[in-house]
Amino acid sequence: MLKAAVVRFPGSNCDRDCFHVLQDVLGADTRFLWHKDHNKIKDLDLVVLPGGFSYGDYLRCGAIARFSPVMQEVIEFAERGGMVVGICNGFQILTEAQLLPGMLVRNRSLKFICKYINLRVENTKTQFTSKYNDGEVINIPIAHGEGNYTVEDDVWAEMQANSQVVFRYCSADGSVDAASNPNGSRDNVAGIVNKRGNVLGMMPHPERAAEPLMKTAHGYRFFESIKNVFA
Amino acid sequence: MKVKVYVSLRESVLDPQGQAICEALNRTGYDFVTDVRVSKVFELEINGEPKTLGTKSGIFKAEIYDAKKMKAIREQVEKFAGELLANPIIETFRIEEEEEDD
Repeated sequence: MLKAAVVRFPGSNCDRDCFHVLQDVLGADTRFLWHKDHNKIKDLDLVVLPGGFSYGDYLRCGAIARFSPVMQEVIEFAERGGMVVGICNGFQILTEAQLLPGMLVRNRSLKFICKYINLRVENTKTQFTSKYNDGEVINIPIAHGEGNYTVEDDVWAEMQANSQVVFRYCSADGSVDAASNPNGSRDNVAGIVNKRGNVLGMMPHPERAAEPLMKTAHGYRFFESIKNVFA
Repeated sequence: MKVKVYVSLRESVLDPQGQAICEALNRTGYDFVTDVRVSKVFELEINGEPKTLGTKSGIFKAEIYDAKKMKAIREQVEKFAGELLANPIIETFRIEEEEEDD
């Protein structure tokens, strides 16, 4: 059975949603980790860095969290090949920790955007997306002020060569165009994996759309894909 | 001593905040302003010495000790400016030391 943990930083606010989906909807053995915890990661399969405003988003989003005690062990865990997911603020922490390339900067509109958007699944060969179909369009929410993905050209070229872009913002019929880019992200990037394929970051919130009660349950298969790895 | 670290966005990174400020200036009649980039300044108060300096043992002359201390401080500030204060992927930084009047 999948053994998962959700990390809580001061200012995390999607931690209970992630816990609920992993524990109650997916049926994974799930626990919380506190940002000051030591030696609690060894036997885990998955670490989730949830959304929120860790440490008040001071300095830069995720910049302080990256130096928290628990993150030193999350970095080691990722380097050993452990699966790590960062959603929203979690994605920002993963880029600050340089576990993922690039950076998330202020939305082009300068507005905090909270709404359902369409995503095209660009890579279904990852451990996080195997339950989706290639090019499938899913509808889940975003809620962020700093989700504008930025990356240097040479790194970007390498990311494309390795199919590291996993989700892109698109229209309802699946076209990736400027009109469906909510925040100014490079090439409509919404989610990426590292080169090795064990660390994923995404701005949209699959945990907010993972059961029939919600507007859509399109985020469920994201978690189901991860569970499937340890089936 | 006082040290200032100036952190600026790289030229290649879009600054939507600066653009909004520039547009506001232009709208209010200051149309001779053509671009605004927003930067940060960290004002650091530094006392004591970095751990990397080691112990004071040995027979350093005061001026040799001070020079070593300054070198160690500069190295450490440079290090943490790049690790924490600035994110080198999108930002650059510049360090300025302020003269003490004593």
